[in-house]
Amino acid sequence: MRRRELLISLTGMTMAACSTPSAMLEQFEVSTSLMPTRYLDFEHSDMQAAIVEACAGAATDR
Amino acid sequence: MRASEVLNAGIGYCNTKSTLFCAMLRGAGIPARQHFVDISARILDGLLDPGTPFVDHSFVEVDLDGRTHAVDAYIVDRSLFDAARERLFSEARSLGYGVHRDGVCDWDGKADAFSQFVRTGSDPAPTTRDYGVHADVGDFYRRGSRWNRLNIALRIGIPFFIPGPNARAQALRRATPG
Repeated sequence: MRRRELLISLTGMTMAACSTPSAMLEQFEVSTSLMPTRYLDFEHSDMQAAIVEACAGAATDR
Repeated sequence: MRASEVLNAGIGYCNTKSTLFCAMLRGAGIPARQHFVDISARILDGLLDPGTPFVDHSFVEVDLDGRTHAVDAYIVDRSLFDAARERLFSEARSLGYGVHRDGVCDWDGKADAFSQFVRTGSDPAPTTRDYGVHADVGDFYRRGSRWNRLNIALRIGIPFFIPGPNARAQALRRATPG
């Protein structure tokens, strides 16, 4: 009986270990997809101005 | 080139515009990534001959409304796109002048939108090699295969041969009414 309980416990732990990193990976992916990088420098003042202009234009178009 | 440099240059090609588009999306709070592939060099027929059977290319993956859209429809402006398509139809070709004959040059946020290749059909094969998603163009060139790394000679030489293709693109716009 103790062996069976151990196997059930290990199965549960393995499932949890597999599912948790997947969920974390998704969060990681979304967060990195919003971050600036050396080349994706949207925090640059010129970029900020262009983004504001684009958003204002989009609002006007509606 | 950084996105801000592309913005201030006011001119670019697929990879630099991909950088700019991706950065603009992220800045607006929309998750986006750059995905790198090779496509047939025939895309450049009529503009320049890169001397290779394929060229590296990037499109942007955009997370919107619960799904991921693949987009490169921001590369070619409407006047060049229409002129190029008209020329391709008259020449019975599917690729050239920087566009795919069955591509699009705008995106409504509802589906994938490509101007330089399409994912259906077999003429030509949409991509010859898929490098996947990279953090940015700098990361891609650091990790990419050797041939597509820009060496010093290319970096120095590119500004000298770019005016030719640009002039040919401009002539194409002017030659096509509308």
